Amino acid sequence: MLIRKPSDIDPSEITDEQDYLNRRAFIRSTARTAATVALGAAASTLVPDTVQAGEPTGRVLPDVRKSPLSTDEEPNDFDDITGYANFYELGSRKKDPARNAHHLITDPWSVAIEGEVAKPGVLAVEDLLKPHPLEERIYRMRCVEAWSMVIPWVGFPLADLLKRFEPTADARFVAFETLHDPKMLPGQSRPVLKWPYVEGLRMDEAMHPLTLMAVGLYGRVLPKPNGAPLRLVVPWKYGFKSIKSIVRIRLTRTQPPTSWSRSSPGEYGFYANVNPEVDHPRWSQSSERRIGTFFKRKTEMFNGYGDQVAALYAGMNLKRHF
Amino acid sequence: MVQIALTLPVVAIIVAAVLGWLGANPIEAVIHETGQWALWLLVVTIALTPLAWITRWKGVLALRRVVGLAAFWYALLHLSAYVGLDQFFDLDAIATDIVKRPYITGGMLAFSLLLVMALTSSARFRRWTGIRNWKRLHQRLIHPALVIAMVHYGLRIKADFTDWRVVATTLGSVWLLRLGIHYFQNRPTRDRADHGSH
Repeated sequence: MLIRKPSDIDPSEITDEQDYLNRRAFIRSTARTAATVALGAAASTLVPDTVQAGEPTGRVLPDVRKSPLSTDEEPNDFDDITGYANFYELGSRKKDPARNAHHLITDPWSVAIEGEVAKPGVLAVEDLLKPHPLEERIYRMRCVEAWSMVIPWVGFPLADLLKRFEPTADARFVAFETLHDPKMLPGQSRPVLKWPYVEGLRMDEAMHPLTLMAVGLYGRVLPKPNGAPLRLVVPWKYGFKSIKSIVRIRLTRTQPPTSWSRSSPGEYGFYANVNPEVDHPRWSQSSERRIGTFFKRKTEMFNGYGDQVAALYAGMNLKRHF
Repeated sequence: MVQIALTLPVVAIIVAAVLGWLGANPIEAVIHETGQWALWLLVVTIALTPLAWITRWKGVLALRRVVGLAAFWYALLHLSAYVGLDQFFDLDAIATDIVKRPYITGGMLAFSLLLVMALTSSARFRRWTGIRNWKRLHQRLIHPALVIAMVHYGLRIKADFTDWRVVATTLGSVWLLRLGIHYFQNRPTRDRADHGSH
């Protein structure tokens, strides 16, 4: 045993008051609003242009119409939308998808439409998109982790796509699948989730006019961290339902498995409708932090899209079908 | 010197916050970074004892209190960021979290143990309790605090435990090393004399 005399430690080693005060100052300074106002000018001279960025990049999509289904809330910055994302196939930290996006090659890209359809097929993504006029849909996006954004997607209704392939009378669900290729999606080299990522919707959810096949962001081609070249957007459900980089769409008779529900069935359900009254078992879903704002806000039922979608779930116990 | 070095992470976080380098969710980043520093500094604190034994440099032992206190300050920042930035002093929400959310309950519990250690860290208090009792108190608090802190950290993770496992592996190694040294030091004197002749 090493027994030291009390005199071994000098009382002066107690953290001094100035250090304490500095830390208090730090807490104040991280209230980003104040910091931005006070030092924004200084920062703009110090930070190189590449970090400042902020302007949307990528090929501009032609003939994008506005949509009455858009919210009039202020969209989040392009950089925040691309730089803070959950796309585990490109890494599980929020900044990883932007860092690892270069691995993902989205041209050429083909998508298989199969299952309960009269006209199945495998199409190059350009051919898949060709018949569909593009529109901008500015939607709220609520992550299951209790943060949210407002995102100006560009896309077209999933319903229009599915109708082209003529679903049969037995088509009750739609199953989606992300590309499975650990070379392009290096996150798939680790079994964080069972790959490929799969998601699903009930047929009436898939055919709902709000349900979007997104191919763009801020009027330009969809950035890779956000699921290029083709992703689903279901604005009244938690973000993980909106599967990215889709290669397969299969119409089925039975409810398909979904990745997060398979990973942790007690925490993530098939429906995953945004619902402030049903908490995640480990954290509250009653409020959320809108990225770019300081104060939390109340989470709305169906993420504020209840007027349009509540009827889909009439009579269902949403605590059980979470 | 060591004290100055231990303030560098917080300086880095301030600079990053001011320059907008903490990303889209700076509040989450501040909470994460301060929590990571608190946890790692606790691991370092308990690693110093075996380090002193291996290097035979007893000066290292005096650092335990400095580093341990720094861990407490980072834990306090971590807690303050949760209370002041994340919840913005919404006491009802915080109380609900403590009662209903095991990861918050655990965080509060781990912090309470660190608080007791910080409050009893003074030389005056040590003289008052006697060195033996003081050491016993602190050894009985830091290891449970680490266990609870690791549970607290793990409970917020959705699927990818990679970063958590790095801390857990390091912590496990330090514990094994401490046990090994403890065993070695408590061997009969004869063995120790043999070892000395090598």
